[in-house]
Amino acid sequence: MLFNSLSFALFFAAVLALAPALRHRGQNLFLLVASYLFYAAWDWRFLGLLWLSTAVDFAIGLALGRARDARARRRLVVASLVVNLGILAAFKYAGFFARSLAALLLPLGLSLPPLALQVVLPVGISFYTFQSLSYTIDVYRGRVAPVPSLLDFALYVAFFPQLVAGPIERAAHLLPQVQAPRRIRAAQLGSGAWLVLFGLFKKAVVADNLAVLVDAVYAPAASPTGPEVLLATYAFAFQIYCDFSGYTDIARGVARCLGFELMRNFDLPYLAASPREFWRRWHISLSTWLRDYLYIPLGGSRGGAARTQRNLALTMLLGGLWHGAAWTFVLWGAWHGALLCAQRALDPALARLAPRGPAAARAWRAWGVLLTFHLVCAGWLLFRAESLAHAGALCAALASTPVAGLAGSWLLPFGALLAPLALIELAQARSGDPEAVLRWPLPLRALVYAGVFAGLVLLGEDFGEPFLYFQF
Amino acid sequence: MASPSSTSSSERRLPLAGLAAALLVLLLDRCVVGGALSWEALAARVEPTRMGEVGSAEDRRLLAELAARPPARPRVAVLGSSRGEAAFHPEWLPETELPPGSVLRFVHPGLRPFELRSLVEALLPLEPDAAVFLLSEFETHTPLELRPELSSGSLAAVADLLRAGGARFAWQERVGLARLALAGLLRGYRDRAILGAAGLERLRRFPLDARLAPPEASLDWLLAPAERRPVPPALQRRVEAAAARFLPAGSAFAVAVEMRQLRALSRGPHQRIQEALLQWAVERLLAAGSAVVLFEAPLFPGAAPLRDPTFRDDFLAFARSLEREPGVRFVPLEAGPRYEPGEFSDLTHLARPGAEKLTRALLGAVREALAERVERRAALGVEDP
Repeated sequence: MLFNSLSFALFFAAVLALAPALRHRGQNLFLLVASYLFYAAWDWRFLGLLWLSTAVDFAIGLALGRARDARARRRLVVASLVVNLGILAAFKYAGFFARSLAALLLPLGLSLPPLALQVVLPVGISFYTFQSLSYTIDVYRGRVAPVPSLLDFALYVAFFPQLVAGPIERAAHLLPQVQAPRRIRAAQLGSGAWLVLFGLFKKAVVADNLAVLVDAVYAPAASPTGPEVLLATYAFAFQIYCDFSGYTDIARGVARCLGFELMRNFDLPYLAASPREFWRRWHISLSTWLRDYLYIPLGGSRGGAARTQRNLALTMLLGGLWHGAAWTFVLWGAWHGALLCAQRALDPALARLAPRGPAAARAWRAWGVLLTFHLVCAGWLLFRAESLAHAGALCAALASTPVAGLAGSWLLPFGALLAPLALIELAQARSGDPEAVLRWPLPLRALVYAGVFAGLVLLGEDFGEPFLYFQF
Repeated sequence: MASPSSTSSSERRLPLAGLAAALLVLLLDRCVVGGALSWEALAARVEPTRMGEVGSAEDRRLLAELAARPPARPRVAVLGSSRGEAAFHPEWLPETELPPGSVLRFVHPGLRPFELRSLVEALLPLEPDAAVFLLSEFETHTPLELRPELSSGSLAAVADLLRAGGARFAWQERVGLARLALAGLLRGYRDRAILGAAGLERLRRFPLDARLAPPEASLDWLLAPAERRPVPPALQRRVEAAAARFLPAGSAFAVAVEMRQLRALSRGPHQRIQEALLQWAVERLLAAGSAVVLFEAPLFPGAAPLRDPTFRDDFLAFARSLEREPGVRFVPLEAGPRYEPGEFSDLTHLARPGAEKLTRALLGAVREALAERVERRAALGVEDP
């Protein structure tokens, strides 16, 4: 049930009509059943995994609340890690490692049974296992009290707006909203509706139309020129941003209409002036998860320069692997790890080089934004390529035909698709308010709403193109 | 006890910006897409090869023209698919024409029963004296395809489709039905394929050459419903041999497409829906005082092995059931001219010699239907101009 599908529109309309009429506990139960129905619409067979993860972490949370012995507490949190990461490993990575092993064994004349190579990936598994896991770790660390109600905890794990592609909510943020009675205010409905509308615009107008170009240039059988690869990589940068942030906007909007406030997952990431800043603005719920539950436990920046670099590289490598079970994602994670390590190593030199005056500082920052965007785009090439060999071929095309075959006719759709997005997002960035549109004067707001809606009707891809991040 | 989390009355405020935006969208939709845009100019900008995809552009152009300049009397609307487009050409036979400008030709690819039902709603304000449907089992037994860009966006037609299909159909086809309903509400959505083909697509489509994308298969939409029943090779060879003998060189591609379309004809719930839609289209016209002629369109005789003869029996029974209504006239193949195999351009379309025969016969049937209508109305005391 995609957010941009009619089925979801009907489903959400029914939920929105019924939920406010219920009292708090009844509403939580209703939202939980709705969330399971939402998940079952993808594939009911994997509901069991969701229930397993929920039940295990709920029980471990309660046990952690009772346990006083440090060793027992550690055993409990390790059990949670084993179950959640075990589910993830079995369903997401078993096939990948089996295929990699099979490729290694092939020259030796050995083969693996086909069953080992084909495991279906349950939708949203990477998101809900991380979310559930963060709860047990936070209870273990004493940052969150164990939840006494299975209903509340199950809703925290399965709440449908963020179940299949995040944001990966923390217990400290979402659980209190689940546990306390909620009031749905007209202002929430209005701002939620705007988030849904703008999210749909990003997805159906920008991402889905850019996807046509990206898919063509990145098709393994295509033979693009260098400038075509370059433009398609820029296009992919905006496709994946609009696809994923569009999804997040819809998720946040839907949740807000139901009285919940989900965390912001994107903060104008292509305005970042360094790789570190990029990761503070891109997929914030994942990057902060990786920071809190991987980088810091590995030692963070506490063990000297070399250990910090190792921790950074390892965190990003695993972050890459989280995105997908393929070597291209591993390499993408390694690339970002390398960028973060390089930035850390160059920090003192860069600080010395940074100009002092405001104008020079602005130019320095603009240069940083441009450079960071291109470094990120280099990563996107690895991310989008079908294989490492394909990534190599695209890089070779970039290098071998640097100016030939520039498709000038692509600039019009590029500009037409990105201009409204840029206007709205830059205006919001200037005001420092991520939802500044909602505070604009009424006539201007009406114009923006009407323009975005008209764009959806006239230029949007029709119902139901899948979101990119569902595959992760 | 926790309070319900519904919106309290004090918090209920009108979303003024949203309402203003909705009004603005509707106003622009009515004024710009429905009014200021010149359909003549738009239709002229659509490449001929794409007219099949956005066939209603021509309808829209004609309707806009007719709304601005009411046509002569008697007004006769001829409705049909690409078969009608190929077969009905009154301009080739000026001696048989009704008064100049009185025949309105709504014929283009993709006009199937739903589109015909939808088009009838758009035609009613023109008060046609007679409407002619060019039909065969090709219309009644073809699988349903819900394509907003081919229809006139009539909500009444969508309601009829729902009535004909029932609840299960409504759920199974919810996306297609939602598209049709949206097309009924917003002209911009209904006409976006036409607007796109006329230039708007340049804002969102990246021109890709053959290195990056295979040539666009613009006929895919024709084949989509035909994928379910492939043509057995022996049958294919027989039809191809007949086609090679009688049909013009260069018809091989059309023949290949049409073989699959003919094989896709079947009985089932879709047949009931297609027939109901046609019946209601006819009833709407009759209620508005129009005479209705159902004219059976011929198919290439060499394609007979592809056809289940009982489907034609179904069609004849259906047409005769409609003929029982006063004001409906049915002209089966047997009552019309005989078409030779060489008078076709492919399996379903007539070439000029056959088209001239069909046009002459169809106009003859129209004259008779109009005369009958005058008599019938005179008997009721209605005076015709």
